[in-house]
Parts: sequence; structure tokens; C-alpha cells
Amino acid sequence: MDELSQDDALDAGIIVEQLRSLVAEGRNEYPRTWMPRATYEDLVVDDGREPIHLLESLHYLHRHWDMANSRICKGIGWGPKAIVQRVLSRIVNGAMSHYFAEEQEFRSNLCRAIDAIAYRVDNINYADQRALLGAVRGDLIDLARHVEHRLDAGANGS
Amino acid sequence: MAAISVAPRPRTRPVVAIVTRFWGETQNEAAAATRLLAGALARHADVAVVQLDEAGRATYADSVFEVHRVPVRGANRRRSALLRAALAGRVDPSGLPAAAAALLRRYEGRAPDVLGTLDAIAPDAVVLAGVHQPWDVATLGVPGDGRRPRVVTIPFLNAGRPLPAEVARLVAPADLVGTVHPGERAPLVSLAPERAPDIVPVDLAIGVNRHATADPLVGVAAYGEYVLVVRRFPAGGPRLVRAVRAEMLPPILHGLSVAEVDGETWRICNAHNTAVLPVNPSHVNFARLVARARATIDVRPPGPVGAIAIESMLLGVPVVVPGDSAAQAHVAAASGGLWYRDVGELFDAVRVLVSSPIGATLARQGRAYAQAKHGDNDAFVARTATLVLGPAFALPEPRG
Repeated sequence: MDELSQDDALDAGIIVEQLRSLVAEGRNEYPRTWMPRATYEDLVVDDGREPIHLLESLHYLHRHWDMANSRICKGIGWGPKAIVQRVLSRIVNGAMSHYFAEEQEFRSNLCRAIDAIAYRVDNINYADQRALLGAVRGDLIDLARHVEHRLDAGANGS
Repeated sequence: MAAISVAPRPRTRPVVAIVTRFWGETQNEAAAATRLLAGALARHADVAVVQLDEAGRATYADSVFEVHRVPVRGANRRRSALLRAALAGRVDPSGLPAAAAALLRRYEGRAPDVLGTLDAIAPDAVVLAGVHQPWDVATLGVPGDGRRPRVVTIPFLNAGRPLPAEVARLVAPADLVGTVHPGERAPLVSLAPERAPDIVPVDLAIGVNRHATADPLVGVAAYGEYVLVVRRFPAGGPRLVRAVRAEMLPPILHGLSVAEVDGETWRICNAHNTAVLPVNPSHVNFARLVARARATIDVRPPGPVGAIAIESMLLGVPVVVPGDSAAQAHVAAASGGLWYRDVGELFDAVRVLVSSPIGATLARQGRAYAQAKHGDNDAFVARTATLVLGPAFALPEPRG
């Protein structure tokens, strides 16, 4: 995006395409700032069921899963208390580093799993509605054919 | 709206008849655009509106317009909408079974009285606004037929789900076809390639409160800079239940606040607080809110005109709009904002607009486009008169 911002005139279409390609390239890189996946469809304009991936708690989870910064205790100032805190922090982090790394990996996988489940549930939800609409469509076209046959039969009969 | 008797009048000015379903109490973009066109035409012609409606026949005065309400008989809007939605899912809608198309026509109803009404009006020009025209438009003839009124079709392709055959039926008798956004041209040309020169943009003039930028809205100052999410506007308009909410955006906006217009409820929030804005949800206040925003994010069901995108660009604010919509066609033509296919792309687009100089450049480009195409009301009036009354029509001085 940076190189685009230097141009005098910008083509919005190019920016949109570039954004999409950036997202596509970074799809497998984790962590990245989380975004819900594509399930926006005209089909469910009037639907009252809200997609799971729009749940605020899911957003919170994705914003806060990475706690790497929280366990680094920098202390405040150079007083004895701050120095002791920093020393203790180093000792604990050093001793527990394996556990923390495992825990970080666990949280990362948990987020991925919940994201995948939300995505799957939303897809099933929409597939359900699409199937319903398809069935209605099929019924209506069958009905139309039936009417057409009856009209033809009536015309031949008369 | 008092009932009046229509007396024969001396023909000092041309008479234009607008045949449409988009009139009356309906609050949507197509109705607003039709009224805008009628208002522009009324500067140079007497405008009669033939309103297609399920209610009974009536004639009444509505502002400067003489409205002839013509009943649509046998219509079943719910079944028609359901069947239309079902048929729109077909891979090749042009290959519809004849019986399905016939069933759709039946649900759309019939308005045979339109012909008699047009005979009584004896217009110099007829505007077919919207694809829903359940009467025999073929009786209007085709361009080049002797003494027939000039016919202009403005199909509003993004209103409802018009089938190609329905659109083609209205293109055939038209001397000109007017498009209300740049994205309408391609499908119309593919339907009738030989009529490509007759497909012209209408470029509606969108009125905005030019002084809005000088007069901020009460209650927003404490929240600093903000982006605006439009969930429902005007208050009676359509709304997506599951659209993005204002509370979802502060974490990605680096300290910016988020204002939200949701019908009659207007709010503003940041990462810590939310406040309801104690204002009248009027258009003037809406312009005030837009004018001070860093970006306008439209999450409403897409309308057929994209008026709010144009309004935002006119006020120098970049927009984020749904892809494959009238608004997107304007924004792409103007390079005045970005568009999204899904919520993730919406977040990305907003992030780019507020965190880089791209937003300012797009805002400048959008304003230039909107000013040139949609900012001059007098030019729009002249354009519309020439479009509907023909190039030979010499514009007299506007009345009043």
C-alpha cells in the first residue's frame, strides 16, 4: 500500500485488487490481525440469524490470544522493587519458557479451530438456506411445467 | 393529496408522462430518483405520473405533479418476489421455461388501464421508470414510427431482480435508455448491442447541504475523529440484520471513534464509551455527520442508485461500499473509495483508508468526480429535459 500512496492519482480498483492479493498471500501466516471470512450473501438479506463469525466474543478472542508481551515484566523505574521484578521475571520466563511456548501454540491452535468451526457453521447455515431456496425454485418450476402441460392438454382437447 | 378532476388544458408546454411503480409512500432510492427526474422535468414540461399500484384508480395532485393512480390487477407481490428470487438463481436466466415466465407475469399482475390513461394525457414523451411495467408497452411502437411520443426507458437494473427478457421488452420501444450508474451500461449493451449509442447516463444531481462541514453535529466533538457506519438511512429504508456494527471497528482503527446511523438511532463510540446522539435523524444532520467523518462505510442492502456514496464523495469523504452494487459502480468510476465482498474486506478497506494517505487522495478524486457528474442541479435539469424531450427541444426559461 505504501508505494500506492505516493501516486498523484489512484485507481481504486487496483487498490482493492492489491488488498485482496495481500490477504491471499498472508492467508497461511498466523498470527495476523483476524478478520471474519466471506459469507456476505444477498440471499440472506432478511435473515434474522446472525453469522457466528460476527460474534463480539470471537473478535475479542482473536484480538487477545497473543499474550507474549504480557509476560515480559519491564518494571517501572530503577528502584529495588522494579529491579527485583525484572530479575524474577527473567528467572520465571527462563524456567517456564518451554511451557509458555507450548501454551502460546495451544492458544494459537485454539483460535484457528474456533475460527474454522465458526466458518463451517456459517457455511452450513447458508447452505441450508440455499438448499431451501433451490427446493422452492424447483417446486415452482415443476409447477410451471405442470401448468404448461395442462394448458397444452386443454388446448389439444378443445 | 386532494382528489381533483383533470380538465383539458392549453398546451403551452410539452407534456411528459412518467409510468412507474416507484411513487407514493414508498421510501427507497428508486422512488427518490424517479421524483428527482420528475422534478427536473417539471421545470420545462407539465409532468403527469402514471402510478402503478395495487390500490384503486384515483387522480390527485402531488406537488406540481398530476398523478394518475392506475390499478395493477391480480398482482401477488410476495409470490412474485419469491419466484423472482428463485429464478434469479438459475445459471442462465435467459433460458427460462416459458411457463415459469408466464407464471411470473401472472404474479406481477396486469395494468391494462395504462393505455387509456396515456391516451387521455396525450404526452409528448413517455418515461418508463423501472422494469415493472405490466401493460402492453409494445403499443408504444418502436423508434422511427411516425407520430408517436418519444419514449425513454430508465430501467433501474439494481432494483429487484429484473430478468433479461423483461429489460429487453422495455428497451425495444425506447428512443433512449437512461442509466443511473455506470455499471448499468454493460448489461444493457449485451442485451441489445445495436442500441449501444442510445444508452446514455442520466447522472442524477444529488443535493447536499454545502454548509454541513462548517456546522458539526451536537455530541460528536468529544469523540474526536470518527468513521461513519450507515446501517439504515433514511429511517424507513432497508436494513441488514447481520451487518457490521460500530462496536466491531474501534479495535482496528487505532484510536478513531465510530459513529453509526441506524434508522432513528444514531450513536458514536470508541474503545471505552458509547453515546446516543440526541439529534433529529434528518438529511441535514446526516450530511453534517458525513462531512466530518474520515470515511463513510455503507453496510445497507445495496440500492439501485448509490445516492449516499455520491453524497459522501460530494462532501469530500471517501466511501467503503458493497461490491457489485450501484454504489460500487460510482466509486470505481470515481476512484473515490473502496469496496468489499465480505466483512473481512470491509475491515481491510477501512484500515487502509484511515491509516494511509490513500484515503485523502481517494477523497479528492471522489469529490472531483461527484462535483462534475452529480453536483450541478441546473446542468442536470437541462440534461434531463434534452434526454426526455429530445435534442430538438429548445429550452425555454424555467418557470418560477
